[in-house]
Amino acid sequence: MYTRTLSSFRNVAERLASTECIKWKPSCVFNIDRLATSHNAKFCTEMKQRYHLKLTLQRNPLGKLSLVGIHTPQPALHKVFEPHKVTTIASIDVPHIDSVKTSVSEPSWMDESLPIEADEDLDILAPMDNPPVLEQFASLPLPSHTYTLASYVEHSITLQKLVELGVDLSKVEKKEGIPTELLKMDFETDIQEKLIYLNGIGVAGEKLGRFVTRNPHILLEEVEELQARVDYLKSKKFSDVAISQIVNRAPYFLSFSVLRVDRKLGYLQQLLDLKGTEVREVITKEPRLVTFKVSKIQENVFVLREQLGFRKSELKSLIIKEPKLLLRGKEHMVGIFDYVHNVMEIPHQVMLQTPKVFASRLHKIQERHQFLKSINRDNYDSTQPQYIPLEKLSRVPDSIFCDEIAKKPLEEYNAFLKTL
Amino acid sequence: MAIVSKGVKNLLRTEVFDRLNGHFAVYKPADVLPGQVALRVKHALLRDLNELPDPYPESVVKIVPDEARLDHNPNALTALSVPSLAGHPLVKGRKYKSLRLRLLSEGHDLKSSGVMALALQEGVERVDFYKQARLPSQYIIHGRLGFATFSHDIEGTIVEKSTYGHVTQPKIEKVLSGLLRMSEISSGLDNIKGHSGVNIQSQEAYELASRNLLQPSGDIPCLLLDLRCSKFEPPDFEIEVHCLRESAQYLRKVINDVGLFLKTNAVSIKVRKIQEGPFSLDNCLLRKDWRLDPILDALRTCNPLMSTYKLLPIELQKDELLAKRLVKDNISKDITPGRGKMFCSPCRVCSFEGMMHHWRLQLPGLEVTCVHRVSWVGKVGQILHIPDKF
Repeated sequence: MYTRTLSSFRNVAERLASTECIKWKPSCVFNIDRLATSHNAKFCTEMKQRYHLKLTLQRNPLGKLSLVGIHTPQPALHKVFEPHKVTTIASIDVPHIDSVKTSVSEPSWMDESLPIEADEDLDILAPMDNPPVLEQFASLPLPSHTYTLASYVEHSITLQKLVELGVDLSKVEKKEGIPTELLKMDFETDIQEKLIYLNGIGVAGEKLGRFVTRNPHILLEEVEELQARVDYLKSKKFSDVAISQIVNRAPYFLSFSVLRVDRKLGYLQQLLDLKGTEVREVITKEPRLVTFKVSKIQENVFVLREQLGFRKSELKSLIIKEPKLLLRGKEHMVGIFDYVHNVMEIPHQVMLQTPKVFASRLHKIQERHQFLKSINRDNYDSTQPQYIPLEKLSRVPDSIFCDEIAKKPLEEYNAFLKTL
Repeated sequence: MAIVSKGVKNLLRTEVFDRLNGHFAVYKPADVLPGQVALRVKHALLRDLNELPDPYPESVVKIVPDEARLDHNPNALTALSVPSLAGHPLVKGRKYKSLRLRLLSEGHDLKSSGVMALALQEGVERVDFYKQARLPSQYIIHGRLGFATFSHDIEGTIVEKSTYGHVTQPKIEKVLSGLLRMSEISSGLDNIKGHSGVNIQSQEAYELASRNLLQPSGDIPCLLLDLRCSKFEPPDFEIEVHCLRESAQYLRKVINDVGLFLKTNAVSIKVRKIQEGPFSLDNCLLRKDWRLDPILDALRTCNPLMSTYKLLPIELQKDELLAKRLVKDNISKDITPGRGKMFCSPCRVCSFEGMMHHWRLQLPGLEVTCVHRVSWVGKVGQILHIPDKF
């Protein structure tokens, strides 16, 4: 097959690669007449990697020099690499350097103690069955100090099994004290029982890897302690489903002692005047209320009550619907409230019905409100016809907003955004 | 069936990274710092790059005992290529951790909005060259009559209040043309020409001017090239500005001055950039498009606009071939403008003297005089002497 340019060369190679029915002959040849970019290293590596074409320069029978691609499929040296299935190379029994020296008969010219004599009848370039040089690579010493766990991953079965589970070691190693502890632990004796227990609670499969990545300290806790904490939750009438939700959403929950959790729950109940069922509902929806600092929750209650002006009863209904409000950043909440209440003129009652408005981006609300205002459809009063409910303002994607709410083409919305 | 037209999915991750070079424009929203915008774009790009699949996971060669030959030789070793654990993404972390992304445009601040050009990876090296090209920017400033504030914009503390009933559009236009003239004069000898590094009284300057090659060079203050009143609905009005080396606060002050000249007061509500050199509102990306695919498309459309010969003076661009040859010869030379070197010997070719470094340009088959490059401490400008033929 002949092509004139490199781009068409690439096209042909791609087409042949994609058609599986055509079998490649061992030396299919493609010629290119133009040699201007024949030494383009990038192109060569691309051909080699993607289409297994080795490029060489050859002379035509006509005397012309041309670039030729020869198909050389690479033999498969190892299994297809699957990210979460790592085969441990347990059969390496790295021989100790001393034992190797005694068993292998060293040729005299490798022995440094002997002086080198010029007229020794030795052929240095002759092939050796087991050159002693390779043993240097077989037994590399482990570093005593590292910055990453990657240096030990090849040698530690514990770490390999954690990677198999899906634990992100690059994130785990950044937590203080964890890397050294992990290396001291043995998977079967220390870690396995904890993982089995977590699996029993409801942290299974992929979630287990994510859980341990977020909270590796769980591996340093005793199973009896974890059991006691879960039993405490059960005694407070949390269902099994609820407990599995709590543990999955807040990985640090199980690292809190029974006393601390009890105190936090009691504080929340007293702060917001909640009943038992309401406490359970709130904690199941947002278990991080227990793991976050109390000062954060106090600050957000202050913002909601004093700055934004919600009454205590209103606050309670707001938190039960959307407990996450107690954890949001205050500048964000104040910014959204300021715009929604003062600019869009939406009263407190409407916001109570849709607390999700605080979860949206401020700029989205601003852009969409301004667009609706420009087309005179900024009507948020539910008593009037053709009103726009607040939850649909910011939580839907642009295309749906334009089709159903604003009823204008998307291009008009984009053009309007470029005038802001 | 070219690879490029199929989009990102059929490209290797490394190929995508290699394509992230050049310049593109973004629509900067108001109330976001320009640096913040660059950071957000960078993080979005890195996130998308790391999410692309990795087709070539790292492998490592291991030396292991060769089981096949163990009978012959108990210490037989063999080499195996196995997947590398240390290179696994869960051990090593994300592959792409940093990108070079710099701001190309200078005039933006927190409250201004509009077209903002960014330079990505290799494009960062051309930022200086782009700046010396001195391509003008266009703004639309929304102003309001009736009061003046401390910071010249609508959110500042009000300093003065006045009536504006007497203001009409012709009056505004008169004031604007006056301001244009003032800015020309105040920047010394007719703005652009005053800053070209040539003695305006010389034959030199005349020859350059007659060929429209008199360009500003070196460090120049903000130059207003054109001011127009595009809308007047009292108390609001809109002014379209063409300018060079501007800043948003300077433009707000211009509005303040307009108000004062009209014997009333004015503030700017919005400062919006609609054109930055070759980038206009059509090319720039909205916030929702600050992702990998739209940016790759934008790079493809915007990179040709920023090619080297397009950044030369307009007169030269008319003869594209000459411009390309000039550029090739200029850039390939190893030029280092000397900092603080203000004077040097007159040019051997045309005896041109002054604050400049120069070299000789040889074009095949052309009678050329020379090319003079003007440099002030670190900033570079260009004056080109072209033979009479062209």
